[in-house]
Amino acid sequence: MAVYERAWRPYAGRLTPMGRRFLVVTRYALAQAFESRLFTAFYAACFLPSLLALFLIYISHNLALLEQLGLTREFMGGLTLVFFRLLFLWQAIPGFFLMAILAPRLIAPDLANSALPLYLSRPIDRRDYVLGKLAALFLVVSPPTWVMGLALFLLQAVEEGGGWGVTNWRIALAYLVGHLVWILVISLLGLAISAWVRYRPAALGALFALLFVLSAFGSAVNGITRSSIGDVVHLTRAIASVVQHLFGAPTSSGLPVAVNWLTLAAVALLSVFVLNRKLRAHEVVR
Amino acid sequence: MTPDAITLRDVSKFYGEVLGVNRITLDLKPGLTGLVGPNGSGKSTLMHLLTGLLRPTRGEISVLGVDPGDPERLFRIVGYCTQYDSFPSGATGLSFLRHALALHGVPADEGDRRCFELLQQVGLADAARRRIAGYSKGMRQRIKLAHALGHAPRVLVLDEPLNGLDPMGRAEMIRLFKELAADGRFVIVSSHILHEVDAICDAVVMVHGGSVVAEGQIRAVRGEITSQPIQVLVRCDRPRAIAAAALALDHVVEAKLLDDGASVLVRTRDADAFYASLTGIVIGSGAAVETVLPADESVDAVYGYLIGQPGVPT
Repeated sequence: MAVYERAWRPYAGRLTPMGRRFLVVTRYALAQAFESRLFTAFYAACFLPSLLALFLIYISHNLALLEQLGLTREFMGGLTLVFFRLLFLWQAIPGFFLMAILAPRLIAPDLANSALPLYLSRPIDRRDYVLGKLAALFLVVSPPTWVMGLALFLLQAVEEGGGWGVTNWRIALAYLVGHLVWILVISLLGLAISAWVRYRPAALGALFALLFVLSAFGSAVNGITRSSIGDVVHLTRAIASVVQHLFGAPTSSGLPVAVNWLTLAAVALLSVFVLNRKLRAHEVVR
Repeated sequence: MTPDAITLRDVSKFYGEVLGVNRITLDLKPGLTGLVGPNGSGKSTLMHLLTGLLRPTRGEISVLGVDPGDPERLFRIVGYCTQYDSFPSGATGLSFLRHALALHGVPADEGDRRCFELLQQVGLADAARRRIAGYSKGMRQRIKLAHALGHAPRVLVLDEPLNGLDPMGRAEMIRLFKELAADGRFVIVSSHILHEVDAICDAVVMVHGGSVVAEGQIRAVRGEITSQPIQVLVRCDRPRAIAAAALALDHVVEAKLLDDGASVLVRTRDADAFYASLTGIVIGSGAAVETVLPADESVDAVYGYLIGQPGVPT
């Protein structure tokens, strides 16, 4: 054995805190997401419902403009709960497409190319990796959904005055909690499916298929048993009911809203379980 | 578990019912260590265990006192060069290294300076802003090495780092490995090309069928294989006289004259005793000796003796 003098010196400079290190994954995931011009264009289009709502809120409080257009302040029945519920829906649908398109792009290529050993040979673990990707989805989907929703709510509250904001606080709650739950559940589901199938187009298809199959199965069970028991697996109805409940409106599911919450929690937990099984530096051969 | 060595104690890894590595106990010291064995022998599994990418089914591993299950602490001291040829799509050499250094917590300004140093070190400074997808195989190997070196780790685990490199590239990389080892680092290199390992490593770990069949310096390992007499090649102008004198020694079992007419291959059970007697034999025979060299103190030969498959185990 040769005798070596120890001349090696480690990097001794400043380090960014470990707790923020996952944001590097996020930063690169965001850059990757917006590399595609098509995606960027679609992302811009996701703001259209909110911009339309902004326009409607603006003209509904602009009496001169309403007069010029020959309309009264009640032309859309006032800016009621229904208006904000519809807006929520028109924000949530593009938000879903954003997640469905983006989630597979963030994880599937890493797994398909055996890039996880490379990723995980840095001082991050699998949790940081998922957290980084999840944060990227959250940062992309938030602006056209709950951020715009809350901004419009605040605008309406300021324009309307007279305690409208306080009276309709459930709208703000529904926008914040509803969208966050929607983003969390669909993002986790999208990432889990991508980790499972590893092929981007297949992951996109599988996500749609899973939602469709679960909904169809739930409806079929409801039809056969003449009950609402099928709603336990009806993911879209579960999220719709939770949001309706948050808005203080009647729910579309025949089951108590607590069961809908449990359905969403179960999907999220199952997704975490799949991610834990599939996101490994090396496939376990059995 | 010493904080200044890499130790594995009774480590086994099973993939379900498939054996990865079995009951491995090792102590690795600073310097260049070669991990050799045929494809599927368990080299990569061993490397993945050392880097925490796989957890052992049983046993304990310590890398300079750090548990490989703690990636934050481990990858401050370990740099890993994977054998997989996969990179983020669209990444350039520079962006790839920047990303890695950012994950290591190196601030952006310091990271940029370090990136250019690394690219210089591995000879890719001119290709820094080119996409990795357009790199040759050798360039991709070098950018992976730069990635492993980025945070100045004390331990380098390099999985088949010379694959795909042309002879010039190999020579450059080998020189770099030697420099890194000369700094007092642990450089662990896996390869299934034995003569390559033989040329660069201070010590070897030979793996076969998931088990370590030998470890240490080649010469010492060879000396312990008593079932196979050691071969010494003597090139001189009077090989017959050398052969005759050698055969008179108790420990010499064979002296074979080679076809070139200027060499004798002596097989002895005690190489040290033979080397001690050789001066007397040469003086007594009046031969002019050109070369004396061990003929089978190579990783290749030792591996062949140990697993009964002479030749390059690929």
